[in-house]
Amino acid sequence: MAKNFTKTPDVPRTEKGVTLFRSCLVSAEYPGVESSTKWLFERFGIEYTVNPDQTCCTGLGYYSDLMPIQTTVGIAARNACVVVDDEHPVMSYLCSTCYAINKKARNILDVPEYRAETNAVLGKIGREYDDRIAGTVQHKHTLEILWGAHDSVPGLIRRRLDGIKVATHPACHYCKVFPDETLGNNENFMVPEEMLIPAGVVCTGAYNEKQTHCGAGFRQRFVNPSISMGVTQKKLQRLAEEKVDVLVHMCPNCHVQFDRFSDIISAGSGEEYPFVHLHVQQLLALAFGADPEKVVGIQSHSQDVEPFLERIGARTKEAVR
Amino acid sequence: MRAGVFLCECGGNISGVVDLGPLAEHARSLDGVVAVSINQFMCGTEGRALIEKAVEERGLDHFVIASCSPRFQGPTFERIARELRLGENAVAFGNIREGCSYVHAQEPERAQVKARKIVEGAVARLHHMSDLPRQRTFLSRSVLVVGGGIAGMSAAEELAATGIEVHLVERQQSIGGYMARLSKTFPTEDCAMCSLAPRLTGTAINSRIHLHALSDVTAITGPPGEFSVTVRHRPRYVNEKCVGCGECAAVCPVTYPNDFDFGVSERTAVHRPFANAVPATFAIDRKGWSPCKTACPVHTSAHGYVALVAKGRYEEAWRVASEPNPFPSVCGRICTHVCETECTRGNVDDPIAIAGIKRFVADHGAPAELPAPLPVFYDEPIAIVGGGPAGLTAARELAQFGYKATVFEALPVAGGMLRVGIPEYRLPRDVLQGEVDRITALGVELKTGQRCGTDFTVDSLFADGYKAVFMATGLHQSKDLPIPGLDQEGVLRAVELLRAQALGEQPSTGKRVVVVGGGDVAYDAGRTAFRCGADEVTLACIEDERTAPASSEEIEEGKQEQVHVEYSLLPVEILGSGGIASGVKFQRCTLGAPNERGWRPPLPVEGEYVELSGDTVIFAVGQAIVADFTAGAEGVVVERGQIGVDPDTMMTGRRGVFAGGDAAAMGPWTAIEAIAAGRRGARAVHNFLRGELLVPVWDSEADKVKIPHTELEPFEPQARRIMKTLDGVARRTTWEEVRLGFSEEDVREEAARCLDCAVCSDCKSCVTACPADAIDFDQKAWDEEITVGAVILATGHQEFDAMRKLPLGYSRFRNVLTQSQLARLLSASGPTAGELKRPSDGEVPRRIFMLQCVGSRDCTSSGNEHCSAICCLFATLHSSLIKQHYPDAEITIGYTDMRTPGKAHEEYYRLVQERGVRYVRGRVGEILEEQDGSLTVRLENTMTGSKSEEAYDLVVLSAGLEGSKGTQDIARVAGVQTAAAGFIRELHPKLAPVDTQRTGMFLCGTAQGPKNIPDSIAQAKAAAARAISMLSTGFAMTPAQVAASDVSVCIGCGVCEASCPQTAIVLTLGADAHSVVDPNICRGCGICAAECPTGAIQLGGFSDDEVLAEATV
Repeated sequence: MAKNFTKTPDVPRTEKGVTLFRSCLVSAEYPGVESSTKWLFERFGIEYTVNPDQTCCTGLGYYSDLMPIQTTVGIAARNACVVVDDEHPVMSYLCSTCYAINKKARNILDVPEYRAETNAVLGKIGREYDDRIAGTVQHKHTLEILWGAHDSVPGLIRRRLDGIKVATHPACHYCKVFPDETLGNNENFMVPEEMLIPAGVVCTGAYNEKQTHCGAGFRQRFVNPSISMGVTQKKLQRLAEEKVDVLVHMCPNCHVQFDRFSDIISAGSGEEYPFVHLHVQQLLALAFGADPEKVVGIQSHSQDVEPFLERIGARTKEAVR
Repeated sequence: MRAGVFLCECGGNISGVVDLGPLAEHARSLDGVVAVSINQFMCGTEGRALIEKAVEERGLDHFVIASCSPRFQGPTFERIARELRLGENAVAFGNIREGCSYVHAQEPERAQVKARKIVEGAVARLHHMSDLPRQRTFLSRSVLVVGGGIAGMSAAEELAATGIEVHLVERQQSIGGYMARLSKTFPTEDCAMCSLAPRLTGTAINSRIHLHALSDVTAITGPPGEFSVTVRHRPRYVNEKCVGCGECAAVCPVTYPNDFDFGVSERTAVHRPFANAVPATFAIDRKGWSPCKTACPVHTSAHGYVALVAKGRYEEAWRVASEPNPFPSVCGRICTHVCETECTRGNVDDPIAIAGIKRFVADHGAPAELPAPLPVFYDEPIAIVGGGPAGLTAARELAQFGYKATVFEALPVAGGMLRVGIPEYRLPRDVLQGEVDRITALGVELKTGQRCGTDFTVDSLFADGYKAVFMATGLHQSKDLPIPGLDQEGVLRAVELLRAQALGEQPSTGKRVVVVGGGDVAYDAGRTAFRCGADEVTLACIEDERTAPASSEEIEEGKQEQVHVEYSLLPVEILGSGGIASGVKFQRCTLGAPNERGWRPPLPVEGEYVELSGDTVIFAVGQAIVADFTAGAEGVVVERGQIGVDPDTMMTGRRGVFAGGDAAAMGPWTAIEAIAAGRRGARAVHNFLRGELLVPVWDSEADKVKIPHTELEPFEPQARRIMKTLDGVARRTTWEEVRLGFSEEDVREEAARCLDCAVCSDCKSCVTACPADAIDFDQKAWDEEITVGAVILATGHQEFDAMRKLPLGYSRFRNVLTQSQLARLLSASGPTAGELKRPSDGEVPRRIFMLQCVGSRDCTSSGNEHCSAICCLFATLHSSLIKQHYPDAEITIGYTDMRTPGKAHEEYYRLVQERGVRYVRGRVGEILEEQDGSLTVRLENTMTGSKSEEAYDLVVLSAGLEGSKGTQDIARVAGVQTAAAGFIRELHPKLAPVDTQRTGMFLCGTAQGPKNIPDSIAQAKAAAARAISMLSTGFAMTPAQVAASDVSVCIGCGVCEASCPQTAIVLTLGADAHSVVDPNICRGCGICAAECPTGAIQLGGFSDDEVLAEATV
């Protein structure tokens, strides 16, 4: 029994043509996620670019009811034009909201009248979202690109994570908005853990409340904090029962909710949640031997990650082989 | 033509919309029409009388029936026409009900116009209709019943009772089907097995029922009445001598989830599903060869010894490991272990550490005593030249065949490269010597210090009376590269260095050593140099890091010993002065495309040079043959560094002289390949001396087992045990063995990671244990051809895989079961003898929740839309049984809607409610497992709209029914259609519920759709009745409406043959190839006629002329 695990099928390797789609939440909250990703791309030999013409996906604005969908769709169309014209049409999203809103816009733009409405605006800046753009641009969560190179992971491990128990927090906007397009099992997303298996981690697989969201709910965190934090607490309790060492994230919004508020919830409830929160690219970079500050950007975290870094030997040079 | 038109009111269904008076008037005006009548029900006796009267009085030769669809009453009027001797194609139908009044009920004017056109078309068609021939076919009075569940058995018994021979084919080991696995049946709560057992026995002893268990139907061809059926019998590996004692199961080391118990218990690889199984013979579940066994050049049953190790049976494990390989200790240490590369576990996490386990087996399981000498049966002495792994293996094999074998070894010690090519810190001398001693103890004579070509020759061996010679001289010198500076002091060769060290010399290496090469020998030379006093060792090879040729163990251990490696360097010159080497000059290189032997040549990078300084340079760039043995061995030819042999016979150019091992390699130069070559050589010699092919030179391989990706998903990743080693740097000064072997605890845990992917591990423990000598691993699958008149498909259903509903936790949470699993737990013959014990702790659960409609009535992509019909009462039955045995149990059933139609079913539902079972209308979103094993059920009460979370001790999922895999397989073989969820589609849901689209093939039971036991039996008897009615006369008439090919028009293109779903059309051979339609098989679908590019194929009753006449009025 205890079949908590699903296995993710292999996907073709993406060698080049990647635009690392910058995320405002990542940049503002955890810039180490972006630097870790760039560092990993270099290790994997994935050719990528960061396009200065790319702009915010505006997903946060839309989901917080601050912005009409037409605006968001128009921006998505423009960003698609930008990356295709730059010949780096594979959008690599660090944030699940960017991923989902751009895919949602992709579907909306397949409707002729919405595409025409959008192109009427885009025309003012000399751009057009046409079939060439639609057929060329690819929307991928960064994990999908990294999974394509997972065969190389064993050879790149420089810092073992033996015995570290990791659990995945599956981002709702990756696993639930387009469930049929999720890599592997959308009800038991395993990619972050599977990526880390060669480093010696202990996987958790499915656990109670795995499918429960982070509680952030965009503006709910601020307008209904008791509900928002209640959901987060429920998940934290279950993860404490599982005795995990790291909850691995794939979305900065979830990451913020857990990392920034874990200690606050703990103080309020009197419960201990003795584990840290890292984005999967951060943990993978640590396993590859990356510098905790310069690459992983650990200094932007609210929780005390030092004991964990010491445990995995990230504070001693000898540990890196 | 004298035609009549008969208009039907259909009791107002037609006449309520279409005004039949004017329609009749119009019909009278049509060309050829001489009689028109209107009747309330043309299908009744009055209608028939009208037709008879018109034929008699008006001399009709054709008529039109304008009424309902011919699918309903077509056969009725065709029979009337036949009985009135008007022929087979005298009636045209105008569908003015479904095609007119029904669909245009709100627009009668348009219906009237359409009815006129329909009648006009039907009359126009009559002008082109001609009589159609029918043929008489004789029928075989035998029936194939596929599936031995309750439906199949019921049909078989019914058929046999009428004197029909029945072939009952069952895929499983025993008949009994799903019912044999139930505890009790609703609504009477009588014991399922008690009801079934008489039927099992009756089927077994019925002389007219020929049972084919563990068999599959793989082909059905030919016409109805004379179907030719291919039945593939899978091997049981246990023959009829089996007395059912179970001694085999007691010693089988493999435990596998018991599929008969739906996984709530375990069984062994050799097993019998239940005590009164029919047939009662045990069988071995053997899917083929495990990938580890297939990959091994000597096909060691690695799975076998791994399974035995997991049970702590080390001596038996040694027997398995040493049976094909006299060097298990050696291979446990230095084998390239391709078995691990292929290990299925590697697709889950890491492969099983097979080599490490083998080493443990050899170190701890080998008998302390040497074996006794084997008797010599044959007079012909055999000489083996070379005492390495190939030669010694051949010697042992030949001794086992009954020959006297003598091994001539040039060196003072036996073992070949194992002894003088592999350093002691990897392969201790005493370990190797122990295995050599086991070989010589068998009666093999070993003569060391005897060099072929010097001390003796092949000619002298024959002159001395040897009748065959096996040459296994190996590759005992290093290759050189054509670069300047090789003759300087300080330049060494790896093979020679390692040999000198192994033979007790004290070779001197300098302090700073450069090894040219990147394979295992290069590492061995470099690491040996450390132990000879070097301080610094650098390897330089042409390969890059990813293509480095050394084994992963050598690379890892080299790293630990701080062997420095430089990649992508091509040596161009040995540097030095005064005849003393001082380093190597390299040119940077890349690797080119592989040549035909897979070797990638280095491509120098212009202008990029690197110099590595050192006082010693060791070359390890390959090995070469020492061909001095060819003197006095005419006919034995060395070409391209290898002795030439015929791969089929292993014989060289000289009759009676064979060769193998590195000197005549047919694969990589590895120890295990050499051992395999020794086995082949011995067999070849045996065949040669006996003058016939007694044993295959190359092993006959069984199918390699490949587990699909989806079946590997649920396995929990587990870390592979890492073998301890001596400290990396400290060990550089010692010859002690670096790798320390597994502890007993580690080895058993590592062995327990094995997935048993072939189920049977081929350990052969059962062969030894069986007192009846009934185990027979030589059994093969075989095909049997049988002829039957009809076929009944009763292949049943399978339970919906509840794992597809991940939030419900099935298979993840120990205390979430399905109703089928619960049935086994409640069964007196089940794994708990009927005691309800929850799996996590064996306690009796007090609070139980049963969830209905799991995978049924479910519109999501992971479920099925249909209602599975039995689940409401299945859950009710189990609740009732539990309440009666455990009155304190609190049972809640969460249902979508309770559906209990059928005799006494609603009453039973009420009774169980009164027994205290709580029914809640609600859907479950998620089930959570708490740390004490209890379950939190999140339920939305769909009656009140409220949500709740309740704790339970046990959750039982009422998983729905789907067509079984066997049902889908037989549908493909039989060419019948399946519908949603894999059930077979009946010909007509109301009017032909047990017929299929293929004449002579009937269906019953849950292969057709979800149903309970009495309905399955009733349907089975109906299917039997259909088969009996078809076969009772001994002959049948082919239908009139079949396709026929006009030979004069057919161009033999074959389009019709490819398009026919019934395989009724064949293409003749030769220059005048044309299509021929078998009217016995043709179902008149017309696809071929539509596809035919020339119009050569016409469908009876639907010729182009008829269709066009009707369509163009």
